Amino acid sequence: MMETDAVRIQHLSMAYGRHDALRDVSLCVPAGTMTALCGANGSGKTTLLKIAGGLIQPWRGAVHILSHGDTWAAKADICYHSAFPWFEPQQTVSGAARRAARFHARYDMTRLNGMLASFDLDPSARLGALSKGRCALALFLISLGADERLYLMDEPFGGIDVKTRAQMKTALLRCMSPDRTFIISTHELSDLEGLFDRLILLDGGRVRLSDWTDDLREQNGCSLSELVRRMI
Amino acid sequence: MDSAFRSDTPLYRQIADWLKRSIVSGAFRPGDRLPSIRDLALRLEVTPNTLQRALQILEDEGLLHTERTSGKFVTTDAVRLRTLRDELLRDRIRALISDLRQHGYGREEILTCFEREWY
Repeated sequence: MMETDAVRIQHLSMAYGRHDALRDVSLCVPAGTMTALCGANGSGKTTLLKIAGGLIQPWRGAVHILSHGDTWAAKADICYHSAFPWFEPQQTVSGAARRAARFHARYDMTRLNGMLASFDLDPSARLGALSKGRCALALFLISLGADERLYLMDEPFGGIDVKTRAQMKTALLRCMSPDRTFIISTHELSDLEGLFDRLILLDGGRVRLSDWTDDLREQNGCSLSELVRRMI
Repeated sequence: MDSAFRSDTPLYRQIADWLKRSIVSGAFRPGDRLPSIRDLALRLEVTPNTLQRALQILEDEGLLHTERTSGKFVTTDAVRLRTLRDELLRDRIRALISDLRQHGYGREEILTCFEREWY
């Protein structure tokens, strides 16, 4: 359906000491799509995101990101959202946003302010004064404010309530465009089924599934959340 | 809108069916321009790619056509719209008959009830 791949990985392996985190992973992610990266804890999701984001080396195999020759060069076009985003509790939401903006060549402060308003988040609130969920939400929106081509987001929905997740889904859909690609690791799928074009399922460092979500529904006659539950 | 779709069958198919029903019901009329892909996708809470795949089905079936700069339009072909009406009716009736048959109802019973309930 898509002509170009934002991410193309061939025979990727990565070990931490004697522990194999990824084993012979090959997959493609078409540009302009929203991909759910699923799998049990320890299945390799974070390692895969970190390698694609150029955060860890060394690994064996070939990783092509957005037509860049190496993952280091691709970093300029990537927004990486960690599962444990670092922040200073004393910093305000807008202060943290200005800080994030310095790390990105293109940062859309207007879009961020619109999103903050729609979530009723006060830009002058101190991050340390927000609840855990509201703070995670603020940091997620600050990441989305970056105007990049590839977004790698590690469990942004973890510990977030259902209503807020629905709003985050809308914010993500609003950010979608043919030249932006999203890979989002998540354990939550049941209320986010419509958000994802593609699903990658990792199991013990190997790729079990990597396909269009509607094709998986068709082939298996079940929802994505049910499919993932059956397979892990 | 999302809750209106089942997550155990392809979303693009369900959206294509919804679009067809919207044309038959007159929510989208012959010659109408559809909202932009982005706006319609946001309204349905699905990705633009999923919506695009649904729209492609309607284009392939001659129910929509694209004008290069101005968007997608509902066909004005009266014959095609007539067959769409017939197809949707036939599909609903078929599903109803198959369901009732599974519950052990026969033709006479169904027709008698249908006539009695029709008003």
